[in-house]
Amino acid sequence: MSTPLLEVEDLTTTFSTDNGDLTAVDGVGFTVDEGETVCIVGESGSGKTVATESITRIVKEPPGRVEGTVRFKGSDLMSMSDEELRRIRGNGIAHIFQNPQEAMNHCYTVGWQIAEALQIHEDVPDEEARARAVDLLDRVGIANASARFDDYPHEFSGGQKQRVMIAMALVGDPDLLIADEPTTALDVTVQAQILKLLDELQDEFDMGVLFVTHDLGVVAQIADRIVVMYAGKVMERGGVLDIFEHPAHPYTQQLLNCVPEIGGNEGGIPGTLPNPRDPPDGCRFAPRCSYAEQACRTGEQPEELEVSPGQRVSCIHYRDGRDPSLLRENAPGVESGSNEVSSADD
Amino acid sequence: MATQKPERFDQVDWAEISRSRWFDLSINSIGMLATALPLLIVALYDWQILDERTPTLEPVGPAWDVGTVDYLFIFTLLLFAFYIVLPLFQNPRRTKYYWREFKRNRPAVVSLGWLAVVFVGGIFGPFFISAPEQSILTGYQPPVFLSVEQSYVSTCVGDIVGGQCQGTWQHPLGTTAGGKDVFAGIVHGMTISMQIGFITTTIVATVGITFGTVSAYAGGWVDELMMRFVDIVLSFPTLLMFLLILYIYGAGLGMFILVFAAFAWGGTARYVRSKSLSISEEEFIKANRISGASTYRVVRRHVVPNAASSIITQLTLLIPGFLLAEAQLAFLGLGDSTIPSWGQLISAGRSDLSFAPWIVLAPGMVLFLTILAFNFLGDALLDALNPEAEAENA
Repeated sequence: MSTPLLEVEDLTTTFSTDNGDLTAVDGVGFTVDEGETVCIVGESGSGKTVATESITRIVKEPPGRVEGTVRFKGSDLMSMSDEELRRIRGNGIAHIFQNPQEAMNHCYTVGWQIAEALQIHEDVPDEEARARAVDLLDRVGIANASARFDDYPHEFSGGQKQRVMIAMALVGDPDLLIADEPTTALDVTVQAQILKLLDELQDEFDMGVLFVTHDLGVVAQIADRIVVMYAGKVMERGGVLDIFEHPAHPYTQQLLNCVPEIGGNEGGIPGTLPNPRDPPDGCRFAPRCSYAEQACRTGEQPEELEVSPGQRVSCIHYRDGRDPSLLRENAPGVESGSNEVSSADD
Repeated sequence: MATQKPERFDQVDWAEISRSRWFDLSINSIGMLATALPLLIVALYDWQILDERTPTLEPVGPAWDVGTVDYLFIFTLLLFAFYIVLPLFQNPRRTKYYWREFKRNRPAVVSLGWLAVVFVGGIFGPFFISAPEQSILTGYQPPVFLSVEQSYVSTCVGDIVGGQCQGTWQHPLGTTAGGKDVFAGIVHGMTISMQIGFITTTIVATVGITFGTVSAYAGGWVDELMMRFVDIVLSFPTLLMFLLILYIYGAGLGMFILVFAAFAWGGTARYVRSKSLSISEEEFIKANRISGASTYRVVRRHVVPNAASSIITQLTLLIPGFLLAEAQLAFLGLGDSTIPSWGQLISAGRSDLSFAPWIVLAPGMVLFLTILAFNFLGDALLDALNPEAEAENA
């Protein structure tokens, strides 16, 4: 296999606060291949957003501190100067945000802002920038694009604003699009339209997409692979089918259990996220895990173990000589007969 | 450049030059350059070549000796025209919106009208109304429709009815003890007031915004150092400083403007810093940084424009302070007595208040109204330009 588009290894982001250091992202690793959609899922506060913002080191330093390895198309972003990073931002890696309302400058017309995003990187004359911006607005589905170029953000609806944000992100023709909960602030019908649009544009622009969300329904629609995060650590990662059909980590299982559409119990996961300033020893999820035993509560987060091709899980129950089948009892989406860990393909 | 030695214009690769950044200036900057450069050349010519006594414009006609303050005033007017007025025309939708919001505040609309009168009078008035001249014989002429006892007046210009000297249209607001026309004095005072307002504001805005944004974005010990410097500037006794300079070197209007502006920008810098800090936390700033914008670009294109509405309001409210300071100094006899400012006029009439109150009252009212107008204007601008502030009031 060729080198992945984005390779993240042992990414750690720490914020120094008055009450001591806070490790929001703790040794996270994942990859995104060209043209692939990877979803980072996890509940609020699990470090998803900080992880994505650490990739282009947009996290404020100080108080933040980003360590680890991030390779984009083979070049190491961590050793790059600020100047070199700025060339990657927008051009190579683009972002869209959860709240398009706040991600736009209300002093300027949307067209101006799209054109600006282009002119940051390329020395294009105003007329050409305008033409490209109108073209992009058209492609993201804004009707009557050339007239709406001169409209201000407040004159757009929420869904249209997110479309404009997407246009703004695509103007640099990025190879990787990081979408940080782009549909969370939108209602369900608009959400479906935006997801469809992203899917079309991904093919059109041949981008890898790193999609952050806590909505497993969205994940099921768009993801190729999934990274499950909890309290700054990766709990499990793998292909979307593997994870939806054979969730290995108890956290993933419980997370899926919370989705009513696939037979979840709607009860939620008992307990709350651990204090990030003072995370528990051993597995981060152990305090809320019904299968936790003494070994789970000591030492470090367990190493990642491959449970099926491409599916890796950080749970001691999958170590050699242990029987993981007891974890399967309450798992959703699994028929009672297929408890075998290795039966990844149906 | 296109060629090393472009000897003839057709050998120059104009296409390449037009592609280069230099020609990618906005119409505003082109206008500014096109007008400010000749101004600079005239100023240099005046300073270096002409001898001090020759009025600058004598070769052309009018005997107007353009001084340093005048050059600065014209320069700030150009800035005002190209970066505040012209954008309003370039962006009619936004202007209409501001105007809609602004006109809800009736006193502010009246204030704007009054300030427009002062502005136009200050700029064009001196070309039509000659500066008030001393004429002892026609001193203490009363304003039109009013009268004064004949004994106070040596020569009454109007009719004398029952021992009372009647005012005439020749001196609509009367004359001072020295026979200077009060109306002409007020019109020329408008020029002085506008000069004070525009030049100080430009200096305060330039230094304050630069200092504030740099401080906010540098952070750390640089920020600390800059803000402590602002503390020093703010706690400096400006008046004493001015008096010191006055007694040692003598001080005209230019020095007054310079000294007062040099110690007034502290508040603006502090304000801009806090505004920049809060704006830099906004999501669109992150979005901008994430699409690869440099810090300079973020500050220049996003932070300052977003803070502009508040900064403009703040600056508008600073102007009355300068006008009052000038009037106070003039009243105490510490001002530049060679200029026809309102303060000088008030000070000239203070000893004759008992029988010739118009000498003090006319310029006093004008000063009062102008200061009131600036305050109303600032208040209305805050509401019109800054919807958030309005929301807080509602």
